[in-house]
Amino acid sequence: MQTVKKRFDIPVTEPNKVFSKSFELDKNIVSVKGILFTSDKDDLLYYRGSQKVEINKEEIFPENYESKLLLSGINVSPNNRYYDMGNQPAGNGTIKVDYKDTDDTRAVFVPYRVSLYVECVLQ
Amino acid sequence: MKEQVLIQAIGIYRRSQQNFFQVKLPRDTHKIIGVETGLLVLDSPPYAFSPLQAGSDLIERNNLMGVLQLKANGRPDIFYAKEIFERDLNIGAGELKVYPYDPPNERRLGLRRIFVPPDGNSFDFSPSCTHGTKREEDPLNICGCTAINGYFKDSIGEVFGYDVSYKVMLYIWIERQMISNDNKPGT
Repeated sequence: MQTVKKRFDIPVTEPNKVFSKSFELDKNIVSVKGILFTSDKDDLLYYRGSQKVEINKEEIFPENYESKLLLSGINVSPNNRYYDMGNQPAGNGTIKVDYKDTDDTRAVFVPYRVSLYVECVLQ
Repeated sequence: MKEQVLIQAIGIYRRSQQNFFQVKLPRDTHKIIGVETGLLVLDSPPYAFSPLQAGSDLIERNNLMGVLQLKANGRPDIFYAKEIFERDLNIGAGELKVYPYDPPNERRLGLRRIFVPPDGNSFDFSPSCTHGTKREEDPLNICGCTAINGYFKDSIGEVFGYDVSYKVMLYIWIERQMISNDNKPGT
């Protein structure tokens, strides 16, 4: 089973706003094995972020699912960092992410980037 | 069978506030397979949740926000209880850190108090995001439950003597029996 990792970015430019983005996977990808969220400012993603994730129009994580639950710190081995999705069929290959930034007194807003890493299984 | 997560936000706005809530599960729920929790702090006293200064060798007590309890309807016992902490303040206590040499200087002492917003490099002061382990739900196996009765009581407001506003996020993972009506005649 050959796998490939893809990265998609969502720039977060304003506080308390939803940023929706759809990403297309390559046609030769049959399923999604794992996903992982990171950021250039981890603390903001950790404290302020939540998201809804859909793959092939199927809801995987509902609205308000906190980003910190899909983050892996450096204490986690690189081999274990991805959230295990089993083998979620890629279908039409569309991944839709509605990322929501919410105020938290522990992390003051500055523009940041959210990155979604997807571990995909090739045909 | 299909896994799904249900989200319940528990809002706390006053000290010692108690919150009773109910989460109705979908009809085709087979069992509850796990519970996760999260926390969103909306308003707190200034510097209330600041961790120890970097370089300190002390261990600090974690801030207990409150206690959560869950019961399945029609059953007397609590099947899940958890103390919700603000974060693990000592998660980076054993880390080796290198600090640039900074000679004492009266002018600089004044400048040090300037607030610097998080820029991604200030992890010494908030290491939970970088040093946390993989977050996974607490596994459960609760069958025959149609609704969850929950209770949350605030503790942090009593400690601070201040009305701390926050939301505890409760994630309930369930397993559903997906019964499709698509092929049944007359539906």
